[in-house]
Amino acid sequence: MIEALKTFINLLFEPYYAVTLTTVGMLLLYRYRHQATKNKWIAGSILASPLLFFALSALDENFWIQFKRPDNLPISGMVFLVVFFVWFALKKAVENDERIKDGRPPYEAEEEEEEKVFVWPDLVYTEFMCVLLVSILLVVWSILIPAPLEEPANPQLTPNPSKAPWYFLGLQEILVYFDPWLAGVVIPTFILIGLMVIPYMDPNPKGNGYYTYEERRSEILLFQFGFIILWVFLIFQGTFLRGPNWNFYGPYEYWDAHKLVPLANIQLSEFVWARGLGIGLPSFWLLRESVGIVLLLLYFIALPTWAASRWLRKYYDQMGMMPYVIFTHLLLWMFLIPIKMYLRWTVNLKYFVSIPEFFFNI
Amino acid sequence: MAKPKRRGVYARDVDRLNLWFAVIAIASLLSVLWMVWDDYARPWKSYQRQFRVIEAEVTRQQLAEEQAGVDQQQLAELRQQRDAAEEVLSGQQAQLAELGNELARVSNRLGLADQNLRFSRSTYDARRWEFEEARKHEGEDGSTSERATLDASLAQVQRYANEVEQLTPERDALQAELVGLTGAGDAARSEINTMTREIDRLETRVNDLRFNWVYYLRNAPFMDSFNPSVRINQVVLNNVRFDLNFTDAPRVDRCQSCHLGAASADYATSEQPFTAHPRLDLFVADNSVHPASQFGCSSCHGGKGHATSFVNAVHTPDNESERERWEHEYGWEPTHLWEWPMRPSGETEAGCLSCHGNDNWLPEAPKVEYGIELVEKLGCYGCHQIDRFDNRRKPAPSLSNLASKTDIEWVYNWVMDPKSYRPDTRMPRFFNLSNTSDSYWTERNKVEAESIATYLFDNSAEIELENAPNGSAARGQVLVESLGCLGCHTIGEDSREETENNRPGEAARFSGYRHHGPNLSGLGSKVSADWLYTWVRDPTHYWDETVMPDLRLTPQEAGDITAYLVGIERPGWEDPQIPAVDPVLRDEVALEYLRAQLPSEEAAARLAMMDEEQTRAFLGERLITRYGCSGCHLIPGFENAGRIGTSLTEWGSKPVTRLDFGLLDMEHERGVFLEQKLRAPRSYDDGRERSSEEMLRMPSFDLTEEEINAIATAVLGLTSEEIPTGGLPAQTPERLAIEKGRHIADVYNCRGCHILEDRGGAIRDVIATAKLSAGAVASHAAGLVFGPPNLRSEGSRVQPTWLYRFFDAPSIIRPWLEVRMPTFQFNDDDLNSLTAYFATLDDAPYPFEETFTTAHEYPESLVREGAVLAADRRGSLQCFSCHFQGNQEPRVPPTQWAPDLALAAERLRPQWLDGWIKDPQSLQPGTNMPQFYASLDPGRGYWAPLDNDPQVEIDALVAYIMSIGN
Repeated sequence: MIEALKTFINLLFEPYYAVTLTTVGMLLLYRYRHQATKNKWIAGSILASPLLFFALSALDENFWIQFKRPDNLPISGMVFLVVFFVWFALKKAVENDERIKDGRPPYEAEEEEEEKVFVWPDLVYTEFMCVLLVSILLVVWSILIPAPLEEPANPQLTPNPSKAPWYFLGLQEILVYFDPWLAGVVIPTFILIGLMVIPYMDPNPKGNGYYTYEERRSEILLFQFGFIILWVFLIFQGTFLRGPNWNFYGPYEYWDAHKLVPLANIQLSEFVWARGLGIGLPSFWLLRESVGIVLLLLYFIALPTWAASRWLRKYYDQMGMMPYVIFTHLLLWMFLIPIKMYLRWTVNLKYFVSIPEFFFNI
Repeated sequence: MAKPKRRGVYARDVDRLNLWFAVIAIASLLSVLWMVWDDYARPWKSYQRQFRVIEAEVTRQQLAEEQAGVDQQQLAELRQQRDAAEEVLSGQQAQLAELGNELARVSNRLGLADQNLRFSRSTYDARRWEFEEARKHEGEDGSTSERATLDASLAQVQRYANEVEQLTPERDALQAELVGLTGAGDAARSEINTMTREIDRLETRVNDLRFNWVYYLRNAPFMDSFNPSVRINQVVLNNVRFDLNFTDAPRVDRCQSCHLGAASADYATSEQPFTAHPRLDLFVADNSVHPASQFGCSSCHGGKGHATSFVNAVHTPDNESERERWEHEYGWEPTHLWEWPMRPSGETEAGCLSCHGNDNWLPEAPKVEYGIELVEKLGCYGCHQIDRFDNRRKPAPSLSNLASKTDIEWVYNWVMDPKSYRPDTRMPRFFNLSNTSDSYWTERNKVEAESIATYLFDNSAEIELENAPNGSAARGQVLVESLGCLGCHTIGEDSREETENNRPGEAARFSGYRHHGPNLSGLGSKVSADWLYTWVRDPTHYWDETVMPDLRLTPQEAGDITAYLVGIERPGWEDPQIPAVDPVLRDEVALEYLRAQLPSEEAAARLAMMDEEQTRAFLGERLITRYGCSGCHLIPGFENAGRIGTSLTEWGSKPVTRLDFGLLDMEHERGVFLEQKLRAPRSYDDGRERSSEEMLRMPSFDLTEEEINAIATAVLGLTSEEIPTGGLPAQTPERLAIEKGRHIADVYNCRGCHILEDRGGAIRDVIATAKLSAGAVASHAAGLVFGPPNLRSEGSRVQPTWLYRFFDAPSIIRPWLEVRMPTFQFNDDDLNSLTAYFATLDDAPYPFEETFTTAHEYPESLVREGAVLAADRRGSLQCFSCHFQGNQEPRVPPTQWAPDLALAAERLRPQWLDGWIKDPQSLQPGTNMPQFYASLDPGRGYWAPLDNDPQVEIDALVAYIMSIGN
């Protein structure tokens, strides 16, 4: 019974299901936000779920091996913190949204006098105590769980799996699906640029200084998708679910270094020329990759152009031409990642465009 | 007055905030204290405290012993003397005080004068430079004032010098006067000090070892950063490097921070971690060959030397129970992050090979020496590259002329299972092992063995064989047992292997001296009489690289030996057959190999073109490649084939993660892997689904656990560690000469017959036993003299030139011996090396450093005197009663016969002869040569020299002996 449950959970954690379920879960949370924040039972179970998951899973021998590693421990903490703060922000937002609906200002904007407090003791004193508390936590932690120092690095003998620092595990995960120059250079650059330009891209003046959801629905959902699915979840997956040879291992699976997973991925060009048309790959690369190139051009140029006059018209009008182009491109890059992931999981697509002649792959 | 309620002004209740702050501040303080304590309380410190108690105990014991050992009476006398002298002095206090004052005054004046002298000298030097400069620039006339200053300065120097000269004797006189008064007491006092010095030292030490406030203060937290007495003991090993991949650094060992008694025999019985090293004569102790200050601990033992806790140092348990105890006591767990776990104690000897990897002998590391010897004898280097054995001949016989030697049926059955023909053969078994013994493989093995045999015969050349004459097997047996064949060969279940000073392996079935060549049983089932006759007459005719020597047999002797040996058949091998082989299976296997090279259709076509014989030959060629037969045997067509196995040169450094433990449930350790591999070479295939190409192919040597352990230990010692030249044993010419000599002696098995460097002489027992059973001697010991001579001190005994010639073409020195020094296929380099080896062993001059007095240089009178002394008559030494004179047999019984003295001029070193006559027993214990001169050894000698000076007579004897035959 327990074993069957474990097998089932292992299955749920496979990237295909896990990404889908996490996304659906996130959407459900926002859809049923009133119940999730108001109903004690639902709120309680949302907050308790990460604790419950880690506590029960730790009973499993194989999960325990990974869980107790000194460098994995903070990731468990992070999962809990992320769930808590997402829920907490939502709770505040729901409250404010109700107030706004009733025609009242948001909580943060009401009776400004009440919010004014003395620097001493209300601010500095409490801050100082927080500093002390965090110091105590760090001291005790470092005593009880010594730093996981390893032997001097040996280029001839790299650890298996070789893992990036925890905060880069999301990028390392993207490496599975993209060429290194994309996953390691282009996408991180776009992430940084994207975060920097948010204030310039965001045409919605609502929500400054107070929590709200209904006034910023799409902005919040977009950001949360990038943050929770494409960043936090991938870090969790990289920490607990990627084992030797970067193979996927369920949370209750033993990390057997000899596990073999079939790896047979095919290019888009092969889908078209070899499988679809049955005439074999053209020798000229431009012709061979033309389908992929056209597809990408459609995705990156035609799609935003078309959308500008349809369902993104509001944004186009508010932002103007240039900001709209930048905004949509960043957005399209972000969505390219899950699109590529799903194509890999479902049809084993390797690259849309693969031109080994120029070391160019997308 | 009630407290004002401040809630109205502040957002939070300040009283509660204060309370919270108090709690947090206390928690913060506690956490900091905990941190300090956690940093301070290291496990090694508690070991040092424990050791302090033990050391104090040991020191007190030593003190008690020392005190008991002091001659109390002498001490009391000395004290009495001292007291008496002091009493006398006490009557002379006034005089003493006056003398003391005077001495102080004079000494003070002398000191001042001396100081002034030094000052004035330096002033003078400065003035001199000023004057020289002035004279250079202003001329003699312009420098008169400087000249005057210089002269004045010189006068001052002289004045002070005079003063010092006057005062010095004055002070010395006063001092002497004082010593005259106090001298008696001082002498007694200093003698007392000498007697009690050790006691005083120990007393101080006992006091130092007390746990007093100084100890606690010095080692208190924070204070211990200044000058603690509890401290890390570390050695920096410049010759043992720690590979950091991009650079290297000296290894640092801190083991003695806990293993505090390791270097001192006082702690031999203490508990770990304080136990003394068991071999302080070799290791750790400062006066040993490998002091810890230079070699540390981890260089041999492995482990993380710089770690200071039990688990971090990567201790390795020896067995399951120790492992459990450690887990319980120390929280031990396997450390995967350190590539060099400590060697289990059974494998420690592997560490010797880091520096002594090329030594032929490692007498202090018998296991690893045995292991290396097995690796060599079993020919592991045929398949596995091992640096040490590069440039060696292939370990097994050449198969180039196989067809002349035996028949294909024998070869088939031999390849299938060598040990069924010869149980102690080194040839391993390739077929019917754990991964090839199901019903399919049983059939396929037949196909494979048949194909290999076919290839070998198809490609073998035939040599011309001489016809063996009819011989007598009985005479042959006598010859085989007496000529020396049994120094290298055994026949049947022959366990006679008692040599003096056996090392492990010297009597063993693979590496024993008498197992140097194959066991000769069953030869009749294998070879023809003609082949054997041709072989024993001239082994190189069949195989030019053989180490089998030429015994210079006459045709009759060779015929007799042949008749004897071919008469010994192996039961069950009288008429070996090749069983019927399934031709369909053969074609399948051939197709499998063809398809590895060709597309399927072409492969099938090629197979169709081949007849049965061709298929077999094709398969044979492929299979010899697969099994690497050519690693050990020279096979036509495979002259340039490489080795098929993994390299073992650095195997001991191979990361455990790169070893394939298959599906076996076992400890993932190098040593464990290796032992299992040797025990059951194919077992890592167990339970796995493998194609025939992927299957493991290492053959089975049927090793005992002892052999497995020895080989594993040796291979574990083959690491990538590079020790700088400074850390290696110095490669002196002497060392090189000995190493090379030992190697040659091992290759040709000199020790099968001779005792050399106190090892070997395996055949002596065989000969003595034969003599005893033939009734020729009364005891086994007496029979030993009919064995080959002991080569102890051979280098100092014989002249290098003679030795060189003798090795090249042996001559007869002891005509009464039946055992025969064979003619080996030594080349010039071998001969030179052997000669150098013998000379170096005895530290004898080599090659040109000694001038021999040639016969005619001895004064004739001296020679005559010697002749008289040696003469065979009453009142002389009667040398020829034992020594041969030409072919004339001495009159004593053969057990006491000795070589012809006429050979001495060419053969012996006169210096050796001199020492030999003086004291034969010390040069050759047990020799029959009598000790003549009573004045040199009253216990044994009986001869009193005529003019009471043995040296004169000995000189005469040497002169005479060195001149015989001239």
